[in-house]
Amino acid sequence: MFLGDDAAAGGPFALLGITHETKQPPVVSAALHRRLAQVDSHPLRLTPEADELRLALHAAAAQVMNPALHAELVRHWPEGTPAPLPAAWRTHLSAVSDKLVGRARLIVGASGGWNPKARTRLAHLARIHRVSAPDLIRALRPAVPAVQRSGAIRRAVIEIIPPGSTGKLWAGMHAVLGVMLLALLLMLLVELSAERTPTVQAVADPPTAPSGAPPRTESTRSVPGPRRDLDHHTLIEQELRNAMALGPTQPTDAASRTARAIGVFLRSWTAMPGEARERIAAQSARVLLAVAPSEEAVSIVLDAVMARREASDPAERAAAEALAAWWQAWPDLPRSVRDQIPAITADPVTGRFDAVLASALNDWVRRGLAKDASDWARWSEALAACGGAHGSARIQSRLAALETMLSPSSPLSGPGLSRAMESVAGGLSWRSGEPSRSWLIEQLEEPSIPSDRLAVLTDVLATRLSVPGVDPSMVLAAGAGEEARMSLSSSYRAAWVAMSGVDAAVREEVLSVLTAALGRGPGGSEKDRLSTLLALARANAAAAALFMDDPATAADLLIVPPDRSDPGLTPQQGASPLDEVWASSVLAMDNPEQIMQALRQARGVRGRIDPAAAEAILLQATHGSGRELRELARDTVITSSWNEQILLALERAAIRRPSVAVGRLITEITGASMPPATDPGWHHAVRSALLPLIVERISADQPGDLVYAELELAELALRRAGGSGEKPLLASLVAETDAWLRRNTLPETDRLSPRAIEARRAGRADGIRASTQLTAIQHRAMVEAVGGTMAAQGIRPRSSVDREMERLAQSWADAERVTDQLIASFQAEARLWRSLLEGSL
Amino acid sequence: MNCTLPLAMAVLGVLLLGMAPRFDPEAVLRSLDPSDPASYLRAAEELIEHEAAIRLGRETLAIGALLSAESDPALSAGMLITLASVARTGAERHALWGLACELDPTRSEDRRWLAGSDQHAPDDPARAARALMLLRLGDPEALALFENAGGPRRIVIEEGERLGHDSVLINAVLTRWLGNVRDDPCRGRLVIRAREGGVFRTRPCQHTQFHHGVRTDREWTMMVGIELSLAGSTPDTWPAQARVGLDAAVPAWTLDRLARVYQISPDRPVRRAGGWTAP
Repeated sequence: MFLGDDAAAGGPFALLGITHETKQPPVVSAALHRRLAQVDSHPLRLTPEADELRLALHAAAAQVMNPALHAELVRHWPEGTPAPLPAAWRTHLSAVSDKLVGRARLIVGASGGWNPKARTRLAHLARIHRVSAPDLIRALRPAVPAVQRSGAIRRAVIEIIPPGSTGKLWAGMHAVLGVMLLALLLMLLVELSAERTPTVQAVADPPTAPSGAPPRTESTRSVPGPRRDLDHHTLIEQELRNAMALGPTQPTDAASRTARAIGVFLRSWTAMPGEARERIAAQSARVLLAVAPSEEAVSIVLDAVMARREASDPAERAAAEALAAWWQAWPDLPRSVRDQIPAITADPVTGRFDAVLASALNDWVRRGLAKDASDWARWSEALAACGGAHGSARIQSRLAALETMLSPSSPLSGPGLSRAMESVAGGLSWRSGEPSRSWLIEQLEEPSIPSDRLAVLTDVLATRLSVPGVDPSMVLAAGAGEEARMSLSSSYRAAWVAMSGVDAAVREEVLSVLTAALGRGPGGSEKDRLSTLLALARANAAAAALFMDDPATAADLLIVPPDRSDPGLTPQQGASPLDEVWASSVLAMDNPEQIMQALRQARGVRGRIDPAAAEAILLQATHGSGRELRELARDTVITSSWNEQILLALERAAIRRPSVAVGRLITEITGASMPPATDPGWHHAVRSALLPLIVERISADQPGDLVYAELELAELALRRAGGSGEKPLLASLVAETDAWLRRNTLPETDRLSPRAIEARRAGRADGIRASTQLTAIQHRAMVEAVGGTMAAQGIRPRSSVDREMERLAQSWADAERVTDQLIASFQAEARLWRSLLEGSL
Repeated sequence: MNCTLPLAMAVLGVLLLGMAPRFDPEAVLRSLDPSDPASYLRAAEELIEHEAAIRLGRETLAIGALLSAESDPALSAGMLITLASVARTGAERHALWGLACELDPTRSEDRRWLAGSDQHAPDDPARAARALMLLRLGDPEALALFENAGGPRRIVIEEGERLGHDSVLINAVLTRWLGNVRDDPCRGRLVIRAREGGVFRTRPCQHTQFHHGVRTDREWTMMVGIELSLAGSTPDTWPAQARVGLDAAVPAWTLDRLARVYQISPDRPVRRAGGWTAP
């Protein structure tokens, strides 16, 4: 029915269509494939009978190729009828005419006999006349038995290759070429028209082939069908690999299988290892890429994930959001596909898939999607499963979750709240170094947190969780007032402080100094405010030294030096002989000796100098008669340059009567080099040299606190940076800020990243020239860098750092003087250090 | 006869002007949509082109900046920069730029070339500082510099405001000092040469009331602070800076401050019946 009547003659030879001589494996294999192709092209190729026939063909080929069986089979079974050769392969045997034979004989003779040269020329002759070279050679030979010759003619070319026969080499070559071509055709057919069976999917066969379709060969590249269960991550991975193989040709099927695998993954990801999640996420993106040309397939996959975004299970929902974010950030996916994925998580996708999962879980908290305690339990379990995420991120998520529960707007209360807090707080270690400790103390001291909710949390910590250092007496009463809360806060602080390590004493001292400095009010008077500023700066420097693991410097910095402030260089304001009368008399004098006498008297004078007297002295210095007088007047100007009126007179002289002499005077008093008096920059140079000095002289009557504060701050900043000697405060702060920015590893998109901090600092400093203001700006940048580093390293909850920065911004906006801004930023830094030390103790 | 054509054209012009549609700011503000903060920028750009509607334009920009600060800080910063371009004072402009940089730190890179684009020429502050110095020293040349149109008065006042001084006070001091220079018979000189009894003698000028440059009082320190700031040469020590008022707080507005200054609120983003109301 499938192969014709000849094949049904019986035995393997008839079945395969080969002669008894055929036993070489390549030839038998070729015959087998020919027969299989015949079966595949039959309309009933999909029936069980066809399968039986295929099986029989394979068995026959195996028997024939077995040398031990071959002789036995020849004895029992008739030989088969080989398939006719393709027309193009047929030799033109009838063309071996006598004339051609005669010509061949001449060639053999001319070549000097039967040698390689003769064989080559004969092969050439055979090709020209399109005859088989072996037949031409055979025709040259003496007569052979007719039976033998007719058999050889009847057999296929591939069967007349006697080893060592040069003439049959051509036939062998043709045969090999034929087999290769056949194999090539088979492969091509397999690619184009592979079959699909119920259990095996052919890669290239469309699901509904028309009955009149051209013959196809059996598929060699196949993809297993979908498994019933995907209850292990390896099965999900394999399913995604299969889907990816199907993707280019059958995108819809691939998408359906992917959607199913992803669905299982989203439901069960918490039970998988982190590496498996990473692989599955990446594999799913690759499948999406494979089916990207088909909009239908893409929407099948995306819909499967987007539908899960509304799942009630927080783990499933977060996984769906994380996977969508992961795809959205997958660089190889076409923009058209990525644009179909709505932005879900606020945080940028960086690092491992677990980090994205943790971020999505954090987002779930931010959006306040928790309904009951079981939600929180599942959320906590999911967060704990995100082992590949940064530990600090997970800690911060839990603290944020606890903050949500502490909020008065939280729907949870009673036993539900307690259970939820237990499941979330149970994921924290509450040990030294974890920011949870400082966070709890902060909550106890924050008046806006309701006491009844804090009571539940402290009860959970003290009675249900084995939090180190916390006993049942450390539970807040439900209606506790501010005093009770502060008392309990102190208890927690004491309990955790008591557990500190080697440098406990120093740490405790630094902590108490920080607390004391923060407890000081801003102060009403300038002196009080500067004292507060210095106390904060000292405490901050000690804390920073401790952070840098240098307790010796920290202890040293805590030693407060004796008050070095002085009442200022208050000049004598009393009457002096250099008044207007003196000026008039000097101006009226014509005798240089008299003028010199008056000037000598003026040199030792301390006190107020009348503007006219200063003007008179300057006039003598520039226009006095005689060199000696002018020199004496200049000496008087220099020795009296402590007085602002002398400097103002010098400035007037420089503007009204510019000269080399005035330039020299300015240089001698200020140290500034002056351009020539005719230079266009003369005015600017005069002002730059004299006016700041005049202002300094005027401020000499200010209290010395500001001078002292500036010096003290510079010294503290220098010691904190580990330097010695003298360095301006601003330079030390810049160096310290740079060091903190290097420790800060937050991504560029973060508000507290080094780039953002530096850009804001530059923005604030634009147009600012006063060193006090620049110092405040630089210190604020340093506080931001410290906060960013603490957040990046997970040693302080991000929400807490953000709150601190907002508080600092508000204080800066409300400040009137730069001193207030400096105090605000030093306070912010002190609060950061205090909470850090509380957490690490 | 010769006047007929121009007269006719004038009449036609007047008629056409009368027929031109009048600009209605309230109509522009009706397009505002609080869920689309960019609509505030679009409306404000139209409003600030009309002098009469510039106040509404500022308010619209401020509300838009408040609405988009959380969702789109870059847009919010863009609106603040637009607002800075129509700010009422130099100090306000400076503060708005600072707030824009807070919201979108990348703006600080644009600031140097964008912030000054609508202000003064680069050498204007230096010229103003020189004029102020001459005025402080009582030099009559200061009169010509200050009384010319486009003189340095505005620059001095703006710089003073930026440093935290009252613009009214600065203006009053400038006016008085200019009066002193104008009225001083000694022309700013503390020592003059005058004929006495047929002989020329040098003596102190008796009109010391006009010599404001020698009285180092609060006015003087304020003006010196402005002059130093304009000239870019500030004293090194903190006490000296404090003395001349260079220790004012660094302008650091927050969104709350913005809302207070412009008396607007993100809770009242809709324009209705001539006022800002809740949606």
